[in-house]
Amino acid sequence: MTSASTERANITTSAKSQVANTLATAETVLEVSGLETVFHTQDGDVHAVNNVSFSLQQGELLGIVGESGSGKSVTMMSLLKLLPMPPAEIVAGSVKFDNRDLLQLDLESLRDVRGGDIGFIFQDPMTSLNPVFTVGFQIMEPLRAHMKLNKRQARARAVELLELVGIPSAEERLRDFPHQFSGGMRQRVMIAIALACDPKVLIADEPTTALDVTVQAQIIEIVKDLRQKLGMAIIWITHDLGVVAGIADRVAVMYGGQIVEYADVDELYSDPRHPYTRALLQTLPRQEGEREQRLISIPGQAPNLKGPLTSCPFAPRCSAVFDKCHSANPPLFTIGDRQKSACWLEESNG
Amino acid sequence: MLNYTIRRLFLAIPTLLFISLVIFFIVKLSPSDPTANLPLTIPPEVREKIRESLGVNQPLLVQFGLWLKQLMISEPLYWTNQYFGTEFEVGQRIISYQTRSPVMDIVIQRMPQTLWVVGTAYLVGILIALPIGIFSAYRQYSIFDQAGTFVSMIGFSVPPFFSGVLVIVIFSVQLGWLPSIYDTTHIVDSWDSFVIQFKQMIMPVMVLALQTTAQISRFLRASMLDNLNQDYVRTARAKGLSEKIVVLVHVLRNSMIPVITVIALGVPTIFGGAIITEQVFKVNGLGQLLIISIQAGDVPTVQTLTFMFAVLIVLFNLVADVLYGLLDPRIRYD
Repeated sequence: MTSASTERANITTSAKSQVANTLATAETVLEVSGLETVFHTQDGDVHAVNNVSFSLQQGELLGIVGESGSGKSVTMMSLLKLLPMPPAEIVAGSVKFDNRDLLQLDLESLRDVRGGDIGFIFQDPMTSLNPVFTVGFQIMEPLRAHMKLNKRQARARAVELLELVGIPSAEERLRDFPHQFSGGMRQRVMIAIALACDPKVLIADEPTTALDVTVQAQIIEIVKDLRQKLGMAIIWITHDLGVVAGIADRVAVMYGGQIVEYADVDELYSDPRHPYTRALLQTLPRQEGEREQRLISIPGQAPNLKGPLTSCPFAPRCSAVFDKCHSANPPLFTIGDRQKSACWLEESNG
Repeated sequence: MLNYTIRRLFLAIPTLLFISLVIFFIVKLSPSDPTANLPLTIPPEVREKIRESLGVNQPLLVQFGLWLKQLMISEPLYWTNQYFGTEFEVGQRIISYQTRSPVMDIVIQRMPQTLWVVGTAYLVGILIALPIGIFSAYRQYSIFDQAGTFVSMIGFSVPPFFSGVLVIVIFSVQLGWLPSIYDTTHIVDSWDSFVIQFKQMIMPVMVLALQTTAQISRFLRASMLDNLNQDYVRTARAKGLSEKIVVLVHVLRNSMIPVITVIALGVPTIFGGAIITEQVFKVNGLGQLLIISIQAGDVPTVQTLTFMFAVLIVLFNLVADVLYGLLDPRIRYD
């Protein structure tokens, strides 16, 4: 744990400000606004994503944090309509990518975007690869579908990709099946698949959660390295605040299916505005000072998302709660030019 | 894989010996008399002579040993002589009590009918089952799926002696479209005779195929449903592959692994014939042979037929295991 966290902390400030400078001028590649996804279940509708808006600049790494069930993954799956529909339904919103609204595209054009312009990495590398096909076959599939490469070209590119993600003797390993790879190696294969067609955006859905800590650190290193080499924008979903601090430019904190705080990574850690973000940061175990008797946790449970939100979803667990929190759901208030928070405490600022 | 196969084949020998012994004693337990079907005018002394000549008065173990010797030595030598023109000394072959002709000759006469009717039914059943299984899983709880479930339920629960007679009543008696009896002497040598052959095969084949379809389509549906929710399916979709490739390449390949086993294990039943259906449509195949041999107390025929089925079952168990290893790279036998 220690080696990984120190590594994450070791990002130099100069590198960060460089990224910030490029961001100011970079163009927006992905713009999500007012996204709402509902699951129609037998016990009623579950509002998993509520009015989520964010944008992604070229080359930016956006971290999405939140606890389980906060709607992080569902939001990202909604972008490419990867959710099983039904039960899921995207009821509102738009996803602007390449001057098109992905939600309005027909399935045929959407498939060109999936795996072509937008790559996806999933949480569990143990089950995300098809066990009966060779790794080579699975890497070559998107290459042949999107880039219309022939078998030999696809093969050459697959070798290139495996070398890019740091798999030794790539040529031979193409013939191996997923069960012949370790967890970290499989996640590298997943990354190779996601990067196969030079995507503009890479969505990584908790790519390190299922891996042990040393392998986590390796995967994070690879992604950081590839980002520098290839210059794509990345959305990194995680519930590990430490990971986000190390790699993200901007962070969106999700709770109850909505973004409750959206800020540059420095602001978020130095001056968290939303009570949920503050509570989250407090739960992180400290490395210095007196050791706590018990790990700190946020009391209460994640909200039940049946029915639309009519009050602040965090109100029952919030330490700073007051009357207004129970009567209306706060919108995202803008604080300064780089931070937003969905809390009634910020009403006067916004 | 080859080592494994050879090892399994050797292990099959004691298994089969044991099976044949059990079959022999079970058949012998029934108090049947091979001369019981002979005319009543035959005096008891003559009957005794006949029993003597058939060897039924000898101790059971001697009878078993004799049968084993005939099966393992005489029969293979006889067929070697037949096919390769060699001139080995062939001892007594296995003789049917009923017809006094060699059992193997009868089996070979009846094999084609069974293979044609039951084998075709099995193939047709599988070919119908595959698309039904795939589509009902892909559109779970759709009207198509509900209809498939209903038809499978009928296939599972309605026995062929009912469905067989039912289709005869409808298509032969009422409508007069199809012949009710399968004519095994019919020779196909022209288009017209082919049409007749086709018509007489329709009913027995469909009655049998209904059962196969019901079974295989249910298995495939369940297996597809298991796989459709797997993470690798989401990965395949996220790669931008078409639904056709996702379902028919990624999901189907995984779903076929358990289904292939079921299909392979069903093959011996083709050779076993469909005892009841063959009876209903008067197809004189192996299933019917088994029934009349049991009724006549024809021990050598029953013994030999059941042993053949046992060999096929053991063999196709091995085939299923080998196929499993070929289809699933995670399974290696060495």
